[in-house]
Amino acid sequence: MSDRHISFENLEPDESIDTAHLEVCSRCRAEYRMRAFVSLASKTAPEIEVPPFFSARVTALIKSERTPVLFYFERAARQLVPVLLALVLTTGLAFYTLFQGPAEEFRTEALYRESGDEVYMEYVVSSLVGLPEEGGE
Amino acid sequence: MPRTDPELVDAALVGDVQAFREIVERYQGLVFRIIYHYMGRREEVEDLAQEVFLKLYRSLPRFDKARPLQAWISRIAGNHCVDAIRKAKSRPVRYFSDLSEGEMERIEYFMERAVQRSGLTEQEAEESFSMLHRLMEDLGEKERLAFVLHEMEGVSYSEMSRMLSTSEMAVRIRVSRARKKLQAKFAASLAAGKERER
Repeated sequence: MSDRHISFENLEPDESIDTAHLEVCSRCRAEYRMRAFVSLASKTAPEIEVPPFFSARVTALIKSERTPVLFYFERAARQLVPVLLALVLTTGLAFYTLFQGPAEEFRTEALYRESGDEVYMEYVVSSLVGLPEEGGE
Repeated sequence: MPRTDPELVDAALVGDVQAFREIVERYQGLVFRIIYHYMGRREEVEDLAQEVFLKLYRSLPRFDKARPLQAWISRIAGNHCVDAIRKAKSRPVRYFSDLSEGEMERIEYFMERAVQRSGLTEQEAEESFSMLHRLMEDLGEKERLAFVLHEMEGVSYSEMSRMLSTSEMAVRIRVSRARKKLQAKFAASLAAGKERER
């Protein structure tokens, strides 16, 4: 008999147990009893029968679905919607910022600058004090 | 000659429902067993199994045909049971409880029978299985799944590590932890019973 606890984890299926040790060691005895119970309850676990027509019922449900490939693409498309929406919004904003906002002002300023110092000065003053441009109301 | 699993998967992918039916018929026993062993209650097995096969159908495009279909189905079934237990836990009713004195006595009786290696009647087998499930109620999801697959389904550690996409060491630890928890629950209930006797 060994004084060492039985290492149930490393016990081979056909390896015999040190029963003398089990007699004196309550810890190993408790573990052994639990293992024996688990093994018995698992091995004698009642069978469960598949009800008749189960596969027919599943396939009837499947028929109402699309093919897996279509289902897959549909799901992928659904997941892509927010990403595409964010992409469109970002691109739109970028285009607006580049071509409609400050860019337009730069182009206007450049036109006035080209038309001579006097006109350019008038443009600068009007944009600073908010005066109407020449020809305006 | 029966079609192989990859052939059936290919056919089902393009909408051959009959091919999918063959898959269901081939693996329905396995799925029913896993669910029953995991959940421990007959009543919900059929509904859950149906959901497992619907999930399988939807996941077929992601299935790697180089790997065994059985492992893929077992994995879906296991994960579906985990979800079902999660939902049950979130219900307001008390789902888990300590073992009663009567249950403790029955477990001790079955332990004795197991040590003596004596067989069980059909009714006793049903009862011992339900007692084992009472002990398993407090196990964590992953531990419970590993325990069921290894102890009840006889899935090896290496096979289980592939099935659950984790290391062999991790599944060994889960099974070992599950065993220790069963032991601890039983010991705690035993101690509580003795306390009540005083």
